[in-house]
Amino acid sequence: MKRATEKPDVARVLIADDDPIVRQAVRSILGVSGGFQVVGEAEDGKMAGELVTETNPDILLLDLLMPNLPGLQALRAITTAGAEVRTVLLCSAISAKQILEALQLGARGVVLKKRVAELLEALDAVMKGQYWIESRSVSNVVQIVEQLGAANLQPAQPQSRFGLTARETEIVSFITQGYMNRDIAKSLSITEETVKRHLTNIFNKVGMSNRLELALFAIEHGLVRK
Amino acid sequence: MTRQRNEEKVRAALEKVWLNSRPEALSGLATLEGFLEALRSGRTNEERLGIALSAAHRLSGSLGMFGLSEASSCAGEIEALLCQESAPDITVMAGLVRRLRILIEETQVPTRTQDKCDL
Repeated sequence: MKRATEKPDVARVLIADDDPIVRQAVRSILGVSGGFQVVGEAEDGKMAGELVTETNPDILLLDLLMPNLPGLQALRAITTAGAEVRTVLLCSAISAKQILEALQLGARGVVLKKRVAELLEALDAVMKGQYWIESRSVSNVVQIVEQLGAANLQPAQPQSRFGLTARETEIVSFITQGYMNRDIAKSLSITEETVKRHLTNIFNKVGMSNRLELALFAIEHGLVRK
Repeated sequence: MTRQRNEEKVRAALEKVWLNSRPEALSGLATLEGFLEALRSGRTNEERLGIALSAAHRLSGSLGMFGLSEASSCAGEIEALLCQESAPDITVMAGLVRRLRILIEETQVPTRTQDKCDL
């Protein structure tokens, strides 16, 4: 495990991969751009979770298959712990089902190792609040679901608003478009704290526990339009 | 910095890493060859299988990063073979390991642009 001191104005990255060659390669790639600083390296999923807590990185680059705790389980633990890190999976192979699961657990992107040349572009996109899936930037969760051909999530006629207020529905709409809390706050001229409070109420009303679950739920139940 | 220039720099950085990492990749390959020998002589056990599986998995991932896509696929096939519940077929394993060595050894500067493909 290695750590670095902080620099201002750069995105802080934690690399979690059991292969030291991969970690070294990622380090070199991030060194090409002045926009990223590696703040730690984890060689298994358990250590990744611990270092997220310790270093509070902006980005977690997470391998899927690792000893101790596999990537998706590590991601689940990190999300459950409430960390606000933007997680990008960096893996050899991944199925559409796993991508959806990762997104539901809060991941913001997927980069295949054989496509590692696009890593900087992917991280830039994620830092701007977008998703990075299938070698391109995507801002709208609906697009991702469509691209992956996932689930039978045909938008339905809204049968119920699930007790959501107009403002809450508005916020759900922003969530499905991939907005971060600060972006929603800016768009609605309210504080980030207010957005968080609304989100807590929304999660409680619809029974979802994270942003992607909420977005998929909203699409499925016709709460928002494409 | 343009996307193309960025990717050129990334490739240059990866080439340097590959030159330094090649011995480690060959070491991973040697692990697989050692496992193959153990398989032939009936000296395999769970621990050796786990080490070989880990080596195949790492090679599959890292070789792909350096543009050695065929070698990466070959390592992936070995990984899949080792994941099976039944004992790996020695002939198939030997063929894959031999092919992997050729693919790694014949490539000096492997990082190159790959065509985009679906996940």
